[in-house]
Amino acid sequence: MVKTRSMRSTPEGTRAHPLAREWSSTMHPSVVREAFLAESIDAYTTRVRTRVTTGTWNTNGKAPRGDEDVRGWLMGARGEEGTPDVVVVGFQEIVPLHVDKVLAGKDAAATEAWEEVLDRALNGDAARQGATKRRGTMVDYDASYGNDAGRGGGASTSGTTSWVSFDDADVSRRAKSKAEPTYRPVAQKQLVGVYITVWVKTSLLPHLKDVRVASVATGFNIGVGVLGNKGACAVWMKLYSTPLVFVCSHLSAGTKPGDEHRRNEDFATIVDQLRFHPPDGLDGVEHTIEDAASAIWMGDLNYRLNATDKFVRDCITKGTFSQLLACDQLNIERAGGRVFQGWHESELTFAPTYKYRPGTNIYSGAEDADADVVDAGQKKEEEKKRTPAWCDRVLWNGDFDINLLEYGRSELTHSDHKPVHAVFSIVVRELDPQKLNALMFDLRRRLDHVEMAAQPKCAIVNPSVDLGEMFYSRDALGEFTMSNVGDVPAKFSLVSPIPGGPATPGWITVNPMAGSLLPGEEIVLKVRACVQGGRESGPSAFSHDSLSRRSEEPLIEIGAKPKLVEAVLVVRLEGGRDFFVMVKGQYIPCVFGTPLEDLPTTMFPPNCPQVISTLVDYVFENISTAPGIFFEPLDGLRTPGGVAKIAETLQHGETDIDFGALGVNVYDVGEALVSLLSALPRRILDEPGVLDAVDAMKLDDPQPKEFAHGLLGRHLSTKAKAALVHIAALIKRLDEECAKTGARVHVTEMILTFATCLFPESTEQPNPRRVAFIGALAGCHPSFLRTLRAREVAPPPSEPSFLPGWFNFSVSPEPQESTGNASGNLIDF
Amino acid sequence: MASNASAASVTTQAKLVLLGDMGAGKSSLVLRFVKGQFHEYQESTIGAAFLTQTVCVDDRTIKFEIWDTAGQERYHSLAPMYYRGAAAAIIVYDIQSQSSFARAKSWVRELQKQGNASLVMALAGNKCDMEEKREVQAEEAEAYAAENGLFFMETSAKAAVNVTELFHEIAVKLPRAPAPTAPGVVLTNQNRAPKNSQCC
Ligand SMILES: Nc1nc2c(ncn2[C@@H]2O[C@H](COP(=O)(O)OP(=O)(O)O)[C@@H](O)[C@H]2O)c(=O)[nH]1
Ligand SMILES: [Mg+2]
Repeated sequence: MVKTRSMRSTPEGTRAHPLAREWSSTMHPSVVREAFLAESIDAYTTRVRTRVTTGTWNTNGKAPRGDEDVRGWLMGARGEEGTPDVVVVGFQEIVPLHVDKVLAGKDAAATEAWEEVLDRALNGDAARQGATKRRGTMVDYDASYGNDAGRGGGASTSGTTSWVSFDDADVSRRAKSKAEPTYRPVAQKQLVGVYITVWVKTSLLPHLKDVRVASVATGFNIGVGVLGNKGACAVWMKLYSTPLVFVCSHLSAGTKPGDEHRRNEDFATIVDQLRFHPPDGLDGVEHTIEDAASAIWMGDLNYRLNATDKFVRDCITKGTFSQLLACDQLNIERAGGRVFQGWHESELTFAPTYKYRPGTNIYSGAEDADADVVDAGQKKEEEKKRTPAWCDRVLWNGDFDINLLEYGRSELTHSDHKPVHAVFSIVVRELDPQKLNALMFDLRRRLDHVEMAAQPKCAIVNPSVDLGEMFYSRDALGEFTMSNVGDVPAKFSLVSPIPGGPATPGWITVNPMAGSLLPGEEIVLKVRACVQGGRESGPSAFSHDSLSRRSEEPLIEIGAKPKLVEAVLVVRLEGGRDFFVMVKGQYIPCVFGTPLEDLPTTMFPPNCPQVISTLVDYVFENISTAPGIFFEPLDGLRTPGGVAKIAETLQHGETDIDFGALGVNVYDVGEALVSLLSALPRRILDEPGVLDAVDAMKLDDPQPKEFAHGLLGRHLSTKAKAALVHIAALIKRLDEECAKTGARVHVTEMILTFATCLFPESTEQPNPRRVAFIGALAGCHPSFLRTLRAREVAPPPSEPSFLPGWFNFSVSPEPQESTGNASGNLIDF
Repeated sequence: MASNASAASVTTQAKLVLLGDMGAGKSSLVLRFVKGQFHEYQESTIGAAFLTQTVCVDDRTIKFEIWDTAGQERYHSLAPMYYRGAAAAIIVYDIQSQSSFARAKSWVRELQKQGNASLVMALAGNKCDMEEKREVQAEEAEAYAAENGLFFMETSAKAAVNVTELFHEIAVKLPRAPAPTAPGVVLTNQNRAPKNSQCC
């Protein structure tokens, strides 16, 4: 046993080392697992080179005579340097396959006798001590056999296993003995004639772990189970961290053409059914042959030669075995992919090991069969006319850390089979947890760096947009430029600071809102801001508490001074950083957004704010030229920038405005009126007394105009009352106009338009009572109530169509009130 | 043996946010932690930088997804974007500045208001290499941290004092995520090949 630290890396294979695969199986995420598998296993394991000798012998049911020298078979002719670390011996027909033996399932006498032979061969003078003789070094040894018996007297069910481990006290007891036994038996399993035993150098015992045994019977099926006259016994063990499996099997006999397929089936059954269970009562995973880093399969596989008896014997006589390789059934079946797929066998360079006359080196069925040397019993055997064959074979599985050193046979004459041996060099590995941790740490750091390097990198040279002076309802334009300064494509998008919220405040739009940039590319993002009436998008966006939007504060400060307005846009790179882009401008206040109480009033009608009467009067006088006003979408009817022009003109305090000369039409003036009412920091009907009374109204019982006026008288200021009365006159006029033009069905929509901008702003429509109240106030023909009631009975679901299309600037598309709304993600300044 | 290997391999992701006054050294702490570097003229963050770094503690691997935020007061309203859903927060102040300490306290209050009991909060008194200009005593901060259930460290991004330790300590304090696999299953085998197929 040579302890080495490899300087070479693991042989390059298409797949990773089985140990690495086992250890990586729970690694997450997959990039870590893949990176780990790409590492050399030598980076985190210590290599221990071991020599493993395996031998297989069909002993023909004959007990040892006592003079067999199995040393040559198992130990080779080498000196101490070449002695094996692990010796695995597989027997077949360790008991004669008579019916009684087959049913008994095991025969301790036969196995004991052979174990003694092995003991002597391996331990010489130190043999026959308790530690080597008693396979009681394994706890549960008896229990495992008891199990087999319990399952029907030798009719072993497949996959019977037992757990074995070491009795440490026993190991320490060896100190007392005169000579130290070199080898210790560590695992055995018997299934009728099939027997496997593993001996390990005493010095290796501390590194041996998790020894398990199992068997699979593939013999006659007697209904209650499968007899163990054929089948396999196997051992699983971990040497250091490396799981190894040894299988000993006796496959179906038979010389008829096609019998080889039964052997193939036996193999498949064994591979499929062999299970190494964790020890009883202990946690663990059961294993199969697949889980081993390396597996070695030995036994009387019973494959014959597809050639004439004469040809075979001639070749053997001439010593030209190589001519027989192509006739060997195992070679043929393996080449055809029908058995031992993925397993390896070294080329046979020794003579067929079957079938001999026991006690001789002469093949059974030789020409001299009638000679006197052959006794009566043997004569019967000779009559079977068995053509010599390579029945006894050793194959291995595993593409890492295992190399065959020697494959040959011994000339022992005890049986009708010659024993076969194969010597392997197996590198077993011990996991070095420190090195593994260091590797994993390093690996993750590297992955972190790879990830960081793969992060998109963009730059926004001047992440601030100055919109300059901003006027009511007039677009203010700005832009910023983002460029991809990294090496990978970058995807960007504007995101809301609030989950589910809009990506920009209502008064700002950005184009484009998202996109992608190749390295070196840049893009100009256009910012458009427009201040209009309505809390969601208007001057109220300048609220101090805009994130929570629950402010009862005045929404805009008025006065002669321009006001700084700001918003921060968040531009997120997918998988990368966020940019904050500051958008700011100087809002020049105007009558829009000015509190009602601060608006100058007119002489006539008394106390009515000048701007309101100017707008109302103009619409009033020109109603007939504006069909559909206040209930039809304004697209195509209004003048672009019309409201801005009106706002600017009103700002100059003019009372007698020639709207026609200004280049605006009646629709623009109507829109300006609604915008003005919406933009009031406190809407005209935003009075608790009014709201309570209105919301308590009964729809079925239309309130007369007097009730409505009484309510206003009690709760509203003179100015508000005057404004409202003036507006009510316009509504009444609109009602009549609708009746005249046959558009009566639209009256409800028209009234709703006014209810929406007179009552406090909400993302929801004013309720039918509020609409009815406005109708009553104006003295509209009560027929609109029918439409309204119909609506209340079957309210159309979240009807945006209920709103006149041109009204959209003052209503948020998504009702976000309760969760807060990001549209004013502004800035506590 | 194998279980050692596999346990160290389960990665938990944890969102971590750095908060604190502008210039307290948030970006510098992250840079020191992630890249082992320090820049005397660290450009100030406009927006929020996103970095990742994995640390291994005991049998756990934590991958920090770090948001280094802008400290300017004008961006305050955006902070919830970053501390919302965070597993950990480092609140940084400059030991040379009482006002930055006061600001740190107000961050602590804001986070406490969020009512996220599992949030691991760390208070970092940065620039502890500037002893001669110290304004905030370690004892004062220590007492404040103890009162508010934070853990406290004085750090220096410049002199690489307590930076790795700070993140490591946070990783240790992170609540354990429920095991990703069923209990008892430490190892999984490669998928079993279908019946009758050969091994490996
Ligand atoms: N002396 C000293 N200076 C530091 C330390 N950490 C950061 N700085 C400096 O403080 C300034 C602000 O740091 P920065 O990381 O940008 O702070 P942030 O605004 O919180 O991200 C920079 O000039 C840094 O070089 C430290 O530990 N010691
Ligand atoms: Mg910074």
